[in-house]
Order: sequence, then structure tokens, then C-alpha cells
Amino acid sequence: MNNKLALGINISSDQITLAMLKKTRQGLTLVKAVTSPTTESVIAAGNIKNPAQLARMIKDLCSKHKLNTSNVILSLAARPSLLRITDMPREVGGNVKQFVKDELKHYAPLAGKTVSHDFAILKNAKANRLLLGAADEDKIAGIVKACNRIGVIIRGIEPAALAAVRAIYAKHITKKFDSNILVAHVQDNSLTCFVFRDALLDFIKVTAISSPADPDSIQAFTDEIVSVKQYYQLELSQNAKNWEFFITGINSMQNSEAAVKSLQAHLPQNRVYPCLPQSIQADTSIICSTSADPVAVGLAMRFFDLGPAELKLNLLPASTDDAHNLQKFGLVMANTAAAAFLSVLLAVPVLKSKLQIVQDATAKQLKASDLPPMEKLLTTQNQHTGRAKYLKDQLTVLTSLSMAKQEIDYAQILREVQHRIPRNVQITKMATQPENFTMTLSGLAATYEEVNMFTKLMARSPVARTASLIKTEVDPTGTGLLSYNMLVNLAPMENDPNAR
Amino acid sequence: MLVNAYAKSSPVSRLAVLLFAAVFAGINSWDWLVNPHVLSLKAAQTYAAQTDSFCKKGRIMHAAAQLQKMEAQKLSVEVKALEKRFFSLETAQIFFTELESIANQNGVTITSLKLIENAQDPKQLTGNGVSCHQASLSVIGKFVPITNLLKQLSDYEQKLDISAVSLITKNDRIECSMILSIYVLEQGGKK
Repeated sequence: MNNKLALGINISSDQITLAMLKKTRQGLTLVKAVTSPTTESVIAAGNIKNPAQLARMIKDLCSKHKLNTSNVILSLAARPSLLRITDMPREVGGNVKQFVKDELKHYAPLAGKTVSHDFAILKNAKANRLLLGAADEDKIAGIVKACNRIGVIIRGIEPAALAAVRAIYAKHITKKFDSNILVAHVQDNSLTCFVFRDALLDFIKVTAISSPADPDSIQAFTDEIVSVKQYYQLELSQNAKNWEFFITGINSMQNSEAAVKSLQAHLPQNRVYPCLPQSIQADTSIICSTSADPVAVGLAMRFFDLGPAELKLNLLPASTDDAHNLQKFGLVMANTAAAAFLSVLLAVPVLKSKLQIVQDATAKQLKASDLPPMEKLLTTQNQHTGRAKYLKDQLTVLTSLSMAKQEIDYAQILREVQHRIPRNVQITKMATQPENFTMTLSGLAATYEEVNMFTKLMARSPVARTASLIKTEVDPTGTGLLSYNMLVNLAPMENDPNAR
Repeated sequence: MLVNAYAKSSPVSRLAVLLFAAVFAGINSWDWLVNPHVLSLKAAQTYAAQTDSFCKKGRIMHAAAQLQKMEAQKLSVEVKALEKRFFSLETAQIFFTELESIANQNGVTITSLKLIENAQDPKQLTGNGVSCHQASLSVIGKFVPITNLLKQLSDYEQKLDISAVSLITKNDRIECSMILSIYVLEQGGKK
């Protein structure tokens, strides 16, 4: 959807006019304006007879002239319709919607019909006033549905007269506080008069007239406008005010000139100005280089919220708007679902390929590592650790045992005893007590002196620390010798492991 | 009935039904089509991470095992160097067999040789493949030969401890009793 382009379509009994506006930095620019005649089989007496054919005609025109149909504002082509200003009692308060509904119930031509309506609160210091528009919803819905179905998206429907006023508002109405402005719009045998006082909408009158080409109609048209001015002069004492008259909707130059002449004849002191397609640049604020229907331009301007807010009505039925929104929502949902499904379908191969990549990388890593299984690795490590520990402990034991020397050198002791024993001393028994490093020598000797000498000699031996006689007595067996017991405290061996 | 209800339903209701169906289908298609692959991918990624970790750990363990192996080899060499100082089961048997000839060479006679069962290591250093075997030995002979025997046993190539030596004179000869402790390295120092 392009929100910078809007297409206004004015549907009247004799022609369809299209104007496409584009929002640019310089302002609104008229891109293209198209006019095409209609036939009675499509529209007659202000009512659309064949909505599908009309929609097709619009679509073909748009296709032919390459007009964007995303944002289309249609003119109201439905009879009967209502466009009027209503005073709103102060007691209504904020419940304006209900007030409008009640008002519409009292409008006889629309009684019993589904009414599409809209309202705008007018700026007026004296009283709360509403601009009220309404039409038969069934007649509007037909063309809206037909258009929407073929891709012409209707964003709004507005009475053509309001669009005409919007188109010329900026140039001819706003800031004109010194005169009353009357805008007369003629379309489909209907004259709509708007009166602006102090640039504010004050009055609307819709009157049925015959074709403006007819001299009688021109007179009726002139009389109607003059009567409005007279009403203001007489009823509201507005003599002092200047009046300016703007005529829109008469697209034929000839008809326009006749209407202007007639009006000027009746209102010689006042300015009468026809707003024609040829003078669109002078009458509107848009940038353009070709002629265009002011109504179509005003309709397109509505999309960009130009013009006074109080002149903005949208009679697009809520049901069609809802249906369109629903259709749009459905389309979005369908697209989202399709995208989601597509993403699901695409996700599977992507995930599969990712999985394959990860698996390949893992297999490659396993192959490259060339390591035995973890269980075997653990067993091997435990085996090596266990063996190293066992060998370490064994080495400790072996080293300790190697370092541990013989505590008592018995051969040395015997040699010492052999060398030191006196001639008349005999050993009968020798016992060692390694736990307390002692040795007991028992024997026989001829004399006490010899025993004593032996003891002293043993005491001087390197294998003994001390030597002492425990007991000496005469041998009880009657040999006449002396029996002795000697205790020798042994000296431990020199701490030299290599001594062995 | 359902078809009729659907046909008469409002566009909003139809859209709601379609929306629900689309959401339901979307969730289920996700569960059936995509989720298993997502889970597989997650599992594969976890497995890959674990494999990477295992490979790193494996390399560390392998290196540690190699270090332990090298240390064990080094220790084994050291044990081997000390091995000759100790009896093996085989050399122990040979020693006890040859003991009589050793005694005879020194001019003494063995009167008794008894192995002491459940012998306790007097030094309390055994273990880790090193065991202590003890035997009670009694010989009879002259003083000098007994001294020589004791000297030869003390100087024996393998570790041999002599303890509790006692002498008793019997007529003109001496009976000598002693306890021999030998240290046996089981299985030649290998486990």
C-alpha cells in the first residue's frame, strides 16, 4: 500500500472523473486526471444501477492510465441521501452518537433502511451544531464490495458537494472574515448550497433541480441562491456583509457561463466565480499542470486530511469496512501461515544439514583423536599408576632393607672371645639376647684372677661396651674350678652398610 | 450440523476457526516436523561438546598414563639394581639346600634346620613383594669353624640376618644355635 498516493473518484450521472494526488515535499501534486462518460445502464438518477459494471469501468480506467487503486475515495452516488446541519441541544452532552441515530430515525426518506451515516461537530461559538450525512447503506455497499473485489480499495465515501468545498476551501473560503461565502454545487439534478460566515460553515441547503443546461433550471438555480442570500438579509439582518458566490460542479464552460451570467444579473454588486476544471490550479492549493475536476481533487485531498476537519464525513458502511479489514487480516494471516509453513519446511533441511555437519565433525574428531576407549584408557592409567606405586613402595622397602645392617656381628664376637680368653678359662655356654644387646657367657676358670682378667679384656673389646661378672663360685660338680657368669653389653655395629 | 453451523457463522467466527486451525496446525507441524530435528541437533551438539571434552581428557589421561609408565620403568630399573641383593624364591630354596655343604666346607655339621612358619620380620620392613623367611639352624663343631661359618653367612651375597646365636659346650665340641632370616623378593621383583 502506497500512502503517498490517493485517488479521488467522482461518480455522476453523465461522467466519472478521476484525480490522483501525490504527497511530495512541495505539497500535494496532481499526478493524473481522467474523465470518462458513463451510461444510463450504469448510473441513473443519482443511483448506481450496476455496481459490478461500474467497478469494472473504474478498474479499466485505472489500469489504462496506470492509476494506483490502493487508496480510493468515492463520491456518494446514492439517493436519497442526507446532508444537513443540525443543532444539538446542550443536554445531549457526550452522547452524540445516540443523538445522531435518533435524528436519523426522524428522516423519512431513510426510514426502515439500514443507514450509513457520519457526523462532524461544527465550530460555532453560539451553539453545538452537527454536520450530518447519511445514505442507504445497501446502495453504498454494492459499489464498495464490487470495487474491493477487483482490487480497487475504497477508503472513504463522501458527498461530492463536501469534496468540492474542501477543494476550494484553502483558496476561496478560509480567512475571509469580511464577507459571507456561498458555495453552490450542482451535480445529478441536485443543488447544494453552503454558506460560510467568518470562514465557518453556517448553513447547508440541498435542493433538487433539473439539468443546468435547461434555461428554466438556470433560473431555478439562480432563484435558489438568491433566496439563500435574501434569507440571510431578512432573517438574520446581514445587510452589511459582502457576499461572494462560488459555483462548482458545472463542468461545461457553456453551462457555467450561463449560470454565472444569470447570477450576476441578480446579484450585480457581488462577486460570482465559477470553479471550473480548467482553473483548478487557481482554485485549489494543489500543484498541477492540467485541468481536473475539483470534486475528484477534493475527494483525493480527503485521504491526506486536508481542509477543515468539520467538513469531513465518511459514509463508508461499517460492514464493508469491517469486511475489508477482515479480508485484509485474513490475507495477512494466510500469508503469515504460508510463511510459517514455508519456514517450517525450510527449517527441516537446514536442521538436517546442520545435524550432519555436527555429526561429521564429531566423527572426524573421534577418528583424529586415535585414542582408545575411555574405559580402556582408565584401566591403563590405573594399571600404570598402580604399578608405579607398587614399585615405589617396593623400592622403599628394598632400600630400607639394604641400608639396614646386621646389628650384631656374631663372627666378630666369637673372634674377640677367642682372642681374649685366658688360657685357664673355659666357656661352657654362650647366649645372646639381641633384643637388649646383651650376651651371657658362662664357664669354668682355674682362678678368680683369670676370670677377672677375662672380664676386663672383654670389656675392652670393640664388640662390647661393658663386661661384668654376675656370679663366681666354686664349681658345685666338685672339679675344684671356679664357675662364673659374665654379662657383656654389646656394642652395635658401625653404621656402614658397605662394611658387609 | 457442523457444516451448516460453519456456513451460517459470521466471517469473524470463520476467521477465528481458521486462525485456531492454523495455529493448531502450526504448533503440531512444529512438534512433528521441526522439533525432533531441533532436539536431535541439540543432542548432537551436546555429544560433540562432550566428545571434545572427552578427547581433551583422554589426551591428558593418556599423557599421564605415559608418565606413570615411564616412572614405573625407571623404578623397575632401580628395583632391578637392588634385586641381586635379595633372595628370590628359587635362590632361597637353593640356599637352604646348599646350607649343609656350606657347613661341611667350614667343618661343622648341621644338627637341625627348621623353617619357622609365620615368621615375623624382626626389622618390620617387609611388604610390597618382599617377604621374610626364617629358619632355626643348629650346628655342631669346633669353635673356629663355627666362627668361620658365621662369618661366611654374614658375608653372604644376598641379604641374610643372623640372630639369637647361642653356644653350648658339649664334651670337646660346641653346639651353636641361631636363627637365620632371609629376605625374598617375590616373582623376581615383578608384579
